[in-house]
Amino acid sequence: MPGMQEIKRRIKSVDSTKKITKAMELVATSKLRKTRNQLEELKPYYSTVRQTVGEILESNKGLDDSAFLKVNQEGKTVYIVISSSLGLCGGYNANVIKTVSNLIDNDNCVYTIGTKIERYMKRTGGDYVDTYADLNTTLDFDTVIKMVDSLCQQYKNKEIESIKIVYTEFINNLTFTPRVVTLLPVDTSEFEDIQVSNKYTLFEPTPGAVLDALIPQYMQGLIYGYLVESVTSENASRRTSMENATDNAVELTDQLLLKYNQARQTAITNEISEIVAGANAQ
Amino acid sequence: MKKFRLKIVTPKGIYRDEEVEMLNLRTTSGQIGILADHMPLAAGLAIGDMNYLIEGQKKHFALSGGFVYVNEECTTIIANTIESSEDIDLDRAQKAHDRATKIMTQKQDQIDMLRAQRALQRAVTRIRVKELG
Repeated sequence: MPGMQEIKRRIKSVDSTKKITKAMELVATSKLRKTRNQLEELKPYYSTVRQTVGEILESNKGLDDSAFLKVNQEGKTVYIVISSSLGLCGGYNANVIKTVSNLIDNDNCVYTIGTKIERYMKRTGGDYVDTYADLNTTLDFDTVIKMVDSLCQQYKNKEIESIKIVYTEFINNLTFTPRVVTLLPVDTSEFEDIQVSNKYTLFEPTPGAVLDALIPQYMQGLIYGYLVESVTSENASRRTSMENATDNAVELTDQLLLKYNQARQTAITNEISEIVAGANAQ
Repeated sequence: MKKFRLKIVTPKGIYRDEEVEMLNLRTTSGQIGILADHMPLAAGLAIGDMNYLIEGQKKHFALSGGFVYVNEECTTIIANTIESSEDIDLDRAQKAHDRATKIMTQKQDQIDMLRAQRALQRAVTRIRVKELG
């Protein structure tokens, strides 16, 4: 049995770890609330853009003269992968990496968001082009615009065959799964549920030009939405794992306290029997 | 004057949703005015100013590009950023203006040039909207 002093030291160390995990849990909780609000705020924008794109595509059927609707046969596939920059968030990054590892080979181009996936790509020698390491903390819309601009330009120049994004879908506070979604070419069947209010829309100047302007905007909204959703998942994941860690620490200190009391009792009993034995001998 | 519903959405949520009398916009192919019962229209918006008439009062805004879609129920403006003339920080716009002109006078590669051009357009728009409002 370990000595009293040793148990006491362990209790102290577990206790201080508990304090840290508790604090991290609280931080993650408040961050989670913030990003969930942001997700809510984004919804009207996203749904309006989607509705508009759907209506225009529907009333513009057969006239696919926009470069973004055409399927490029050549070029590489670009993956945008969203991970976190901080650890201690349960299986969040591991799940993303698991999804990515089956998907990406050396012919692909990878845009990384967050340092964890960047490091993974470097380690496996993958050919990643651009890294937006801190986009998942700044959530800066301008950076998303720049990224979409350069991607759209490359797609128009037929350097890219398709653009896919890997993000973590936020289902509820405890469930999140990584998903892969194709951004370009735009899949027109995705919009079939949208009701078209009228068929005689005036396009200024041409339907193709309008779609050329609208689709990048749609992509910006989409990528930003996925980004905020992933960050929400990250914070939820961190909150849950930190909550578990705190619970485990509490359990551990209880066990150690029991052991400590046992050791203390043993020591007292020993002492008494020694005194009694000493008294009897006299 | 007959009114129509105008909805302005940005990534930060719904910016405005109100009944207006007249809307003036700068599309990629030129300036247009929209009144009630306009025919369905879809157009890209350029970086520029925008104004609408509400209760006989003109309100001015600066837009950094976007999209407008008009149908029977509602006119929707989708914008990345929009600022009313009260929101605009004239100092900041002036600084952005100076910075952009400085970059453009130096010899730079094409992408920087394009970026500076857009920044300059935005700054000029902001300054003008501030003066109008």
